[in-house]
Amino acid sequence: MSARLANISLGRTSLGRIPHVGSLGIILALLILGQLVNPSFLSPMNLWAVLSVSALLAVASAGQTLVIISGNQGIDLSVGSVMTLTALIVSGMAGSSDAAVPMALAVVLGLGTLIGLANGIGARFLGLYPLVVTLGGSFVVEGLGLVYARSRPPQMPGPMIENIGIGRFLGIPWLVLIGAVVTVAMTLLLRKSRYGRQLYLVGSNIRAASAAGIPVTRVLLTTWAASGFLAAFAGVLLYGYVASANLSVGAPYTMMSIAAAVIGGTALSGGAGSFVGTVLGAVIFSLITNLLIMLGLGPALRYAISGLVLILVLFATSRDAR
Amino acid sequence: MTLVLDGITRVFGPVRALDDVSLTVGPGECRALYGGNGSGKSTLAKIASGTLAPDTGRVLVDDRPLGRADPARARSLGVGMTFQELSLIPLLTAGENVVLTDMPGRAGLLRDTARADQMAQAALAPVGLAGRRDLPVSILQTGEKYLIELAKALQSRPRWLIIDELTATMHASEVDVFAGLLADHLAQGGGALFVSHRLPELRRFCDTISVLRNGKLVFDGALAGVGDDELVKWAGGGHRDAPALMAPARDGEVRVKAKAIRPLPHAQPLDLDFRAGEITGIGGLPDQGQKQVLRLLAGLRAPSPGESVSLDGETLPLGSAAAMAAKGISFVSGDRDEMVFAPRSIRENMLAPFAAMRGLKMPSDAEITAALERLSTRHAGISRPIGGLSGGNQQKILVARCLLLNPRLILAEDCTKGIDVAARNDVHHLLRELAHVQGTTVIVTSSDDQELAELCDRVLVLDGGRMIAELARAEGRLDAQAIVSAYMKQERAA
Amino acid sequence: MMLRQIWSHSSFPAGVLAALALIFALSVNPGLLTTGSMIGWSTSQLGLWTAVLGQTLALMGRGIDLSIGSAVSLVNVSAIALFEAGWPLTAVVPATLVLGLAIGALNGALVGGLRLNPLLATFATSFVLLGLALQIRPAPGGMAPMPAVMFLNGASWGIPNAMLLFVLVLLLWALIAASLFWIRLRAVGTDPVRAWNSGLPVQWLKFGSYTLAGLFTGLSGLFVTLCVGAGDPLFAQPYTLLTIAGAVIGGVALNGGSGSGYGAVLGAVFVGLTSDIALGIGISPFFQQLIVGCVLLVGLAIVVLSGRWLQQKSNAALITASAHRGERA
Repeated sequence: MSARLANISLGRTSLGRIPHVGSLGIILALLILGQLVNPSFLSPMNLWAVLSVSALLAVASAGQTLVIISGNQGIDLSVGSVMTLTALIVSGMAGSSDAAVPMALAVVLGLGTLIGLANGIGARFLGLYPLVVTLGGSFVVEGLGLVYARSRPPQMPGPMIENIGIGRFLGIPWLVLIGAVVTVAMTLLLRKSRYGRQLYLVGSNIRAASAAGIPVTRVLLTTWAASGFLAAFAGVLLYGYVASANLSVGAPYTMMSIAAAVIGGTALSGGAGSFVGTVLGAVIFSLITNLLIMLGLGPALRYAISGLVLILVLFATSRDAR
Repeated sequence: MTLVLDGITRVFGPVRALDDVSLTVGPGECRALYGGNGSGKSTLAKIASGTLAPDTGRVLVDDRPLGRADPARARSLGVGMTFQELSLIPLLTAGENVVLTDMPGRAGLLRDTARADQMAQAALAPVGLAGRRDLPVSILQTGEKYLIELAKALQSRPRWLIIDELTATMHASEVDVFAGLLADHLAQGGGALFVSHRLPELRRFCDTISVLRNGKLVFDGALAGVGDDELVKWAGGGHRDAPALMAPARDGEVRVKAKAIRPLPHAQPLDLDFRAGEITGIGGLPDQGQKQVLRLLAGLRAPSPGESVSLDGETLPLGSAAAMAAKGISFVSGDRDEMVFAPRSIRENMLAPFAAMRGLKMPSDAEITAALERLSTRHAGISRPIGGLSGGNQQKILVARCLLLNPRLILAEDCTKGIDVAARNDVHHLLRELAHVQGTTVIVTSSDDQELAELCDRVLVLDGGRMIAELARAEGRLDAQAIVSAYMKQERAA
Repeated sequence: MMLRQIWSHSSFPAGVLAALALIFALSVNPGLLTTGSMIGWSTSQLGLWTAVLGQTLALMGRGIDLSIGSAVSLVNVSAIALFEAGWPLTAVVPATLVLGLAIGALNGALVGGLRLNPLLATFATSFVLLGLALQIRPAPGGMAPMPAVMFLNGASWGIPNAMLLFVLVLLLWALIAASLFWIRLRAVGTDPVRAWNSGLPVQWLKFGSYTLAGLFTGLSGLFVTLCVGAGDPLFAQPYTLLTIAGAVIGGVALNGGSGSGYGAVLGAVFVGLTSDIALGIGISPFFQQLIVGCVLLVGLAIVVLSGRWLQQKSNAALITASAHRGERA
């Protein structure tokens, strides 16, 4: 899809063959625009900040990308609520000390995987639409968060979690490093692993996949479990980044993760897409928000304008074929 | 008063689907549009009916141009089309479908259900389906759907009728209904463009013919003066091959033993053996259990109690396509919706079974290309999406996929459905080579008795899930006539 | 024959669920039947019931509207702003409806005109609309004219006025369901390509479905304004997800073409009742959402699975019936 944009704007030159040229062009335009608006836009500090937010969003969108590629109407509306729940649980279990962090991590990652698996079972075995299952699931997960938060009110994170959220290693924010590792791992998973090959095939035609002997159910359940796991992991990062947990901290990430994946070229019809694309989508989304903050706009107008820009980006990258 | 297609060119990606094609249909004329798969005849039909716009060239309906893709305008100019893939909305009733576009309204807004029902009745009566107008289309039979598609196209009383492969799945009696309606249409001064690759039907309905090959018009003239051989040669670029000489089937050992299988739920259990190096066909009237046998062996149907299958003495884990594929069983179907990963590349489509199984060496690009060449498949690079190719070429790729696997058992379900003669011959040749040279066991089903007779060493005829005849080539008893009389005898007895 | 038509209807499971929930609610709290309680219940739900009809329109054409919550909020705060600017009720009512239609037309232009993916396009407009709503009124406040608020929180002949108004809304819906537009929209929702091949103006019909949905959004915003009596940019935010849940429980298919507005309303009634019941039986508010979520999930599973089964049975019955008719003919 981004290649299509390139064909339009660049007149079918060889540039159209560069992967993600559409997304890269938008990013370049946003960077130039940002610098024109505010000379400190391209300062290392601001760029690291944007990259950190992008990395967080990219990790939150990783599971979403897998689910959307898996096709069959796959979409995960429980990402935000899982992130909220994990932030609340890590906060409640670990408190402000580091001692219980490993235990808390094990619990939330396991719980996230289970929630994803439950979504997958609903979608695969009950034949319900993923949109509906995960919508209902997100009510339940939010409810769990509410119940948990009553018994263990959220606290400030301990040094380890906080360091992951806002600290740096060799001058590079931990979030960016983690995002890079996740990007490499996801790309290897999609491009090189057996699971990755199977995922694209299942996503593009599930009947053909089962006729070719691909274990469709295993691929789909793995995908959903991975989505829950990755959302839980993103929730931990979010808790570190925001340095507090509340009942709606993860909510915006549900839709932002879908937007990042789709802007990045993942087809909602399934069977096509890449994680690098999603990362670029996340960068675009974060750059827009950052730019609007730099312009000194309040949250209300920021919402409105980022919505308008999202419409423009959608128009440029992902119009439905007739 | 003519339908004129003038210098039509249409390009899809790297493929030139139509190249400067012109033809004319006059009043009372039924013109055949003939050609192999991927020759562009369906594309041309869609352009004539306004569902596609040509890149260059124009369509003139009674001297008025059609312009951009707009079926509604084509309809208002008097063009009606029946679609091969149907234009009926499954959830609406037959009656609602037939009058959908011209639904009568009160005050232009509300439906006038009484009048709509009258209109539907009037439109469906000629095809004999007025009694079905309250049923949702989704539950009707295929032949009925195509007749309703015809009634829908005729409902707007078009002067020009475009008919795309309407009769392919109709019963003989339904074809007769169509023949009557077409004759009326022509008698009233209408014209028709009849798209098909079945020569007997073309000869029955049409007087003139346009033949397409690879998007180019290669012949245009009266149908009476040309013979079948010439038409096939023009369309396919080659003679319709006589069946290649059979290597006599070696007396291979029994490779597949199917025990107590039930092709249909209430049928008697059946034992079947299949030998190495042998092509066995399973024939009969439609839906007598042929599919179920094949799908059981492919792991695509859950076994009923008591059914068991062994391959080279090893009992197979029925009910799991993945497990069966791992045992060296390869399944290919003519139902491309069930076989093709349209957005993915040719390479990925070829490698799909390798992605399914552990412990197999991935074939190299050179091996993939070599396999494709053995079937002389046309493609513009194996990294391109398979979805951009014609149906026939997609089908060849699926068959070529079996080559890479080197399977012990190939199951081919109507695997030449809807592909042209040349491609069909390529596929047959390859299956024979696999069986007779490499010793693979091949089991095929086909709705085409001629195909079974040409291809197979042995044909089993099923009726109601029972085996009613076994015809072996070695015993000199195998030809299409023998297959037909086997199941027709059964019918008469019933 | 009649019986089969009832249980094979797409909204049958939702009707059963809503009835069961109502019986349960009444057994928990018999006082619910008093006019006072009925007024409270219907005014709190009127906005959702109306909005779910808008969602149904969007879903019917194989779309979805993720901006409904924000749109209702924007109409709500705009209406209050107009009241504060001194506009009379007679001017504010048409203004809110026009605003609703305009929002719907915007979504329709994106989905039908520019052919953007409905999920993402309406998600993007939800940002725009919420941003505008927050800009107009960052925090709850303002006041609607007292007589109108009193009217909506009142009753005539013992029936809450909110319910009477909703009967009018349902009449409007009946007109839509009997229209040419509706059957064509169903055709588009079932299969856009075939609908286009049949000569239907697919993109215009999609545009129309969102624009009409906007009318219901506008009405919903108006009702929320007069029921709550104030402007609140976040009050209606949950409507987006609640309308989807309600419509799906009510038998509206997410892939377009089937379902009915009445079923969607029954679904929304059920969704609304679950939280009322949870409150009524004294569940701690902290557990409420968990319970409601579980009930919703179970409800969804029941509706979808039973709907599929009933549809199969009814198709089989139809085939048999038509075979008999064929023999007689």
